[in-house]
Amino acid sequence: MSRRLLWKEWRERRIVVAALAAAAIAPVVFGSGLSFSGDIGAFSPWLLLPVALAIRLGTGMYASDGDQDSGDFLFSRPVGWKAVAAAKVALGIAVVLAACVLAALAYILFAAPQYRPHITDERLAAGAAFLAFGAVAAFAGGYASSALTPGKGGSIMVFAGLWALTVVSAFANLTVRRQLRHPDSDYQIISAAAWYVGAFVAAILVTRFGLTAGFRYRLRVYALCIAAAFAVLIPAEIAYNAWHTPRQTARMPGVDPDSRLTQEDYLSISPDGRYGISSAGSSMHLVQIAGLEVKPLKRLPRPGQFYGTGQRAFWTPDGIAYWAHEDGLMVADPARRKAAFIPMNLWAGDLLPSPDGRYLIYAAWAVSTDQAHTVVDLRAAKALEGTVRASGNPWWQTADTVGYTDMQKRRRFVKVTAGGIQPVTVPD
Amino acid sequence: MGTSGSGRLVWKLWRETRGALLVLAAVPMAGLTAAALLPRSSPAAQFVAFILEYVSAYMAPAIAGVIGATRGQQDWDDTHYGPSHLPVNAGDVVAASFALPLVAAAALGLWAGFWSLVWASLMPHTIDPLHNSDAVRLCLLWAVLTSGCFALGYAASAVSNARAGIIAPAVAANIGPVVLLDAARSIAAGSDGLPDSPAAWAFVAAIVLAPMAASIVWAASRRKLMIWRRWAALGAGALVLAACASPALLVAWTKASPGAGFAAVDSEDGSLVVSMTGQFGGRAGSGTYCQFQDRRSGATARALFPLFVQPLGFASGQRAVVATRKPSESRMAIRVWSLRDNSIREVAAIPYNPRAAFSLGTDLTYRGGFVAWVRPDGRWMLMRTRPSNGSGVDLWLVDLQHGGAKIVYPNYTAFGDNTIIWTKDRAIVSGSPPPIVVDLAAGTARCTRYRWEAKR
Repeated sequence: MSRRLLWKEWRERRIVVAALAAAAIAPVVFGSGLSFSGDIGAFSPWLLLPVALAIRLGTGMYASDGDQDSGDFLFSRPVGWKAVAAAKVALGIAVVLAACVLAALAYILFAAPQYRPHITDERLAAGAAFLAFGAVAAFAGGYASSALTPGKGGSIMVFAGLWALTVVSAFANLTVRRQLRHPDSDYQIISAAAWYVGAFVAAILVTRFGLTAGFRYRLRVYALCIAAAFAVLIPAEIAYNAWHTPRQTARMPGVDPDSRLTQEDYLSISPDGRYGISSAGSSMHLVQIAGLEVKPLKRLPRPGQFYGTGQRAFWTPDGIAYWAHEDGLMVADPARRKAAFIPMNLWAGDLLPSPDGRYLIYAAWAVSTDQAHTVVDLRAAKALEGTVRASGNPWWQTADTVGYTDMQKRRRFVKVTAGGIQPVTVPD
Repeated sequence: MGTSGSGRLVWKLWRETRGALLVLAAVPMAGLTAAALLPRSSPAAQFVAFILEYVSAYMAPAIAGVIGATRGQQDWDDTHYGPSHLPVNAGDVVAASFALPLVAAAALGLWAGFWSLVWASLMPHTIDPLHNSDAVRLCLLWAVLTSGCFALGYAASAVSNARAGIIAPAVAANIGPVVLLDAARSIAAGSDGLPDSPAAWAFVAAIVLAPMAASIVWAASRRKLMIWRRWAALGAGALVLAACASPALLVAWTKASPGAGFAAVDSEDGSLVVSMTGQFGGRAGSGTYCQFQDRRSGATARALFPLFVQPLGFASGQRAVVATRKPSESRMAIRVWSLRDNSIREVAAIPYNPRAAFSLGTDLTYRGGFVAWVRPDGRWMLMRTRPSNGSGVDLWLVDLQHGGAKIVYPNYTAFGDNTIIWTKDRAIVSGSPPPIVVDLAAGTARCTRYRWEAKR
């Protein structure tokens, strides 16, 4: 790799390089970028700006040689393809990494005072590594897209096409699998990787053997390499799952292997902090919490229709968990490892336990503006006779008396017993 | 376009695109009807139905995009010779090459939307027929999609090259099946599944209007230099994209700006409620009147607060915690409001982040646990604000007894509602993983580990 090749790349990319550096720093300075003092996964969408410019940097690598006809001159010189490729990759990676370091330095300088105690070396390194991973991957994706068409605009479109195909293939895969009742897996991640791995290999082959070849030849190389990547990676993924899933299941019998928590799921913890109800994937589990460790104990039944993932469970003061289904209420007693289902013919609104946890007010949407409230006896696992039609939310006046405002805006009360609910008068 | 020359331009347009237009009209009609009527008794039949649905929904926007690509490319191929060298009004050329096909694409989108409605109504397990407004929105979505793909093809091929002109709409047309199949799943589950939030429509507007603006500038500037046209078209697209994605616009649409008032906030047991009774503003000053009521005893207190106010939670002893800020202040005060003697005491102040504003929105209540949690004895409070960097939340620990506040976990990855468990010396925040444990005395927070994941 010669200095002149590096100088050529620098001359051609310096505007994008400057834009990339500015895009990495500006969101941090103006307070809309990546936090280097908290969870790095919760980044602002403005962080996509430097990533987009890293893609732009990558897509211009070989495309600019074709666009500006500098390629004809370059390849007439006594320069090997490896030296050309090395100069392009080295400059691109160096610029991307430097931008990440600059973003971290900007955070040190410009972070608000309340964040300063949380800026540690580990978090700075983790944030910079996270940004670098995304930006380098974006640059590599852009680089892989740069050898198919001669123009820069065309390369960007190739990248956009690869990205869209990635999304579409993942979506189509999920849809087909659901229709075939095949369990979800990490297939979509592997299929996404296959598009880019194939394109990257194709880009190397094209720059080695076919940089002066026409579009059709390059397209064939890309198609073959992507097909080969799919042919290798998908069976590998299926084989890995076939080997790995039984081991997971055997390690924790009675627990769904897909129960690992993700960002869209819920973990509702008991009042004593010892147990939790996790809603992950398509299943709910009873989990145990010890110190800083959360361990799944038992898969919970899931009768009837289900709201889907992200289901939140509620707890009574004495440690009974309950959560709503479309057609009823699930009640679980973690200490006794018991669960019961109470059918209800109404959709759940708010759930409000009595102070002692014996009863629960179950607000079901009856008509568009009013709510019909049913009282559920959690110990007996049944809904009591009678409903309360309230304007707004009711409240627990005492452990066995419900107060509410009726449609005429008058305060009213009902006494709750195991036999049902009865109107009573409570003096002001 | 009333002259005979304009009529010939329309005839030329029809001659060049009639095959594509007929396919565009026929494919959704035939494909979606066949897919809906196909019995889905076996996995193979389900797969065939899926392919039919996918292709039918894909073809309409894709063909609209291809038509757009061929129209946009006319500047580069020989067919542009006629409009540029013959005595034809430039405006008529623009109308015939861009405006008319755009309208045709939108109309055919409505046509495809109609057949998607037919398909949805014939689908098994549809529990609720579409309402009129849903049907209109679904058809509009299709019209936006097809005209957007047309504009995308036009813009991409015009400012780049022929391949880009084909690839871009061919890729974007995949949104069609996504819309169709996702809408079907949602309809089957009892909801229309169509975007109704301002943010969703802003996103749709951004991806459709940006290429459309670029296309218009490109089509309307035929007598300019090519380099000028390219940059002007790209600039117009970028401008529209930025306008649609503008947070200010979204805030204006959603009316989430501070000072807009708040809905009544109930205590967790439903017995206490803080509500807003009035607001005033002007040169002389501004403020918000609030009412604090105990529903059990019927006791009520009223107080005047600064303009921006949001109840955060309740504590024993008929106490409420509220956050307040004057319009000119750069700090947000945390105050404890006691109903017994109607006293208000400021316990802490935290920096006001203009971007976060009161992310304490007007429609969020304590019960959702979204904004803040007060320990029942009123000793501590945890509250969430938006961070200055990142998309998580800053978790603040407020000492309600001795005063003071500090961030215990910056930019916490929290989704949706959180719940909290208070123990004597700890607080466990959960709801969306990973749960975190807050040491109240030390003012620190640590993440829990999920053992299942740790073993993987």
